[in-house]
Amino acid sequence: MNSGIVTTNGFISWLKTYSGRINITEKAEKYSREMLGDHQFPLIKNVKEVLFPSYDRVYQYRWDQKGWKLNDLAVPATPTLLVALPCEARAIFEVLDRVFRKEDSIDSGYQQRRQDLSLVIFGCTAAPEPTCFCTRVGGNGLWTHPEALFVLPVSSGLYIETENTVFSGLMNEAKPVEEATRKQIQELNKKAQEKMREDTLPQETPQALYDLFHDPEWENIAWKCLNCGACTFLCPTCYCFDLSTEGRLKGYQLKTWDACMFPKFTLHASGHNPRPGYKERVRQRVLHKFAYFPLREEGRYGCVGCGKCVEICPVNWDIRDVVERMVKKIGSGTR
Amino acid sequence: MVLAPDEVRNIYLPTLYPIQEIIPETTDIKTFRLDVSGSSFHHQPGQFAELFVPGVGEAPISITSSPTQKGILEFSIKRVGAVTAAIHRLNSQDRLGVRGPYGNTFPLPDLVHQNLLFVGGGIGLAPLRSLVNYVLDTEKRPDFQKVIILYGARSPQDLVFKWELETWKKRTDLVLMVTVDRGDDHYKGRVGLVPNVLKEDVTVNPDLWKGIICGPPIMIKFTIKALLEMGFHPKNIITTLEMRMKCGLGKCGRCNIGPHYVCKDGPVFTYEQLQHMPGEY
Repeated sequence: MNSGIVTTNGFISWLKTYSGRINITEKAEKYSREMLGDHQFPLIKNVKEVLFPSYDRVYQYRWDQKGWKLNDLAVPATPTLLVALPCEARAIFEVLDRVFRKEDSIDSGYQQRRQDLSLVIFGCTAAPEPTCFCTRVGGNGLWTHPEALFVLPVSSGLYIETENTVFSGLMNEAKPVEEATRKQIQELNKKAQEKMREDTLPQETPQALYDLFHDPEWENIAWKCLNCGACTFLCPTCYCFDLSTEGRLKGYQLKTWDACMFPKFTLHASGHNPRPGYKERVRQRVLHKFAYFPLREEGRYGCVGCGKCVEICPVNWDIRDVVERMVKKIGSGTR
Repeated sequence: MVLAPDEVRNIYLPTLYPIQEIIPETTDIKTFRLDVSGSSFHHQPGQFAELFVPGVGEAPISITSSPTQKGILEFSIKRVGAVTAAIHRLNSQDRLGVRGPYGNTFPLPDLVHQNLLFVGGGIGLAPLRSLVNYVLDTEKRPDFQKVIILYGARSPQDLVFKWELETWKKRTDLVLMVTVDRGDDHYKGRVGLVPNVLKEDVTVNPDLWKGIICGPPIMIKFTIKALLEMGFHPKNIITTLEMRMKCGLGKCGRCNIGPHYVCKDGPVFTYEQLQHMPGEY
């Protein structure tokens, strides 16, 4: 791993010389306000907007005298630099990539945007918001990926670390990391790892929660939820989508965000609905993230603990409380 | 290995195939035979496809033809929603969009050298038919033992594939039993609900047979009950499920039963598998 120390000004001017699209997540901006100042870069609410837009045209159809024609629509190459926090980055590497880059069915639009993405991760030395809970779901404030540029304020400036040559321009300006700083980072890393080990849900949690499928507690958990879907749209990992048509004789097949909170999401043409009520839909949202996804994806939770859903919910439905309530019941029911 | 974007085909893009023939089955069911000759489309019995009508949308429909019927693809479609209504308005030579095939298949390795009891209700015969005609193929038939087909519908007018039932009836290597819930003045065949006919008129050694069933949810429920009463082991009862689907690829997130995607891990499940799933279907 290449690492070095740059100055804050050096880092900001490097960001400003980036020749493609540049975005910072709301959460990362809030966290880095002292360093970067307000509204230096276009804000996005959610990392998934960059890779999995809320509204996406996947192909075109049109009618002419010879009949229907279908035209593939390739996503144009658009280099994009995205600044995010570790939790949000994990949503990309551990959830979205596992869905849209699955080897047997790669989503070509996602793939193009993903290859165009350069990710900058700001390390969090302390939970930046009262709603944060990344350590409960296997993350920590210093989580990074060799593909990303990791940035952490230290006493001698900004510590940077990456294996990606996309960032070599900045890396070339960097001064070597002094021994004292290296020690400081090692210490911070140790603390972060310890906190994560202490907090992370036990390994058997996904199967144990799945075993609570028929628990009566789901009724209470769903009681105050409005099924408004706000949480799903703010969530960096919620990846459910709809495919629909726009236009009659000429138009587009659309891939748009959808949500398990909506009754029509699972409604059959016959009128039958396998998830007819609030209880079934709320249970689906919780179990998809904490049981089904980890059971399919090598233990990865479909939640990164960013806390955005807790912050946005109009009725203060809190997924942290829900998970704790169900975890307490583990072992008490059967599927 | 990760492919470069230009090497990745668009997984959502269908292919348009011309309709060769449209066979009216009942007042609200038609069978569409598509000409896929020259294409690389290849499926296994039990799989489905996403059918696309431009300007209207997509619907997941099971493939009713057998892969042994080369160059064609058949779908039997009940007019229920917007997409199926639009498909019903199409004419011969019009083109229909197809994406797929998707899903798992009937477990052929477990069915080879076995006695097969098919139980179908209404349009539920459509997915079974892909396997029936596979088994009845001249080359494949020696790989399987005895075949019984029990097929029922609400009324004589609701029976599908009447043209093919005649062919099956003439064969000596299978037993075909047809029943309706309510007869009419012209109908001379059997009258009775499928699960009752099954219990009363079908006598087989449950350890030597596989039961393969499809139909409306209520019929599946009572047919499974009947087969269990007859002594069938849950692993020898095979059914195929329906769900609202969009992508067919295990991504869009709506057809799951617990951690299992019906579009990818299904639509074919044994009753033993279903017993370990939460029943949210």
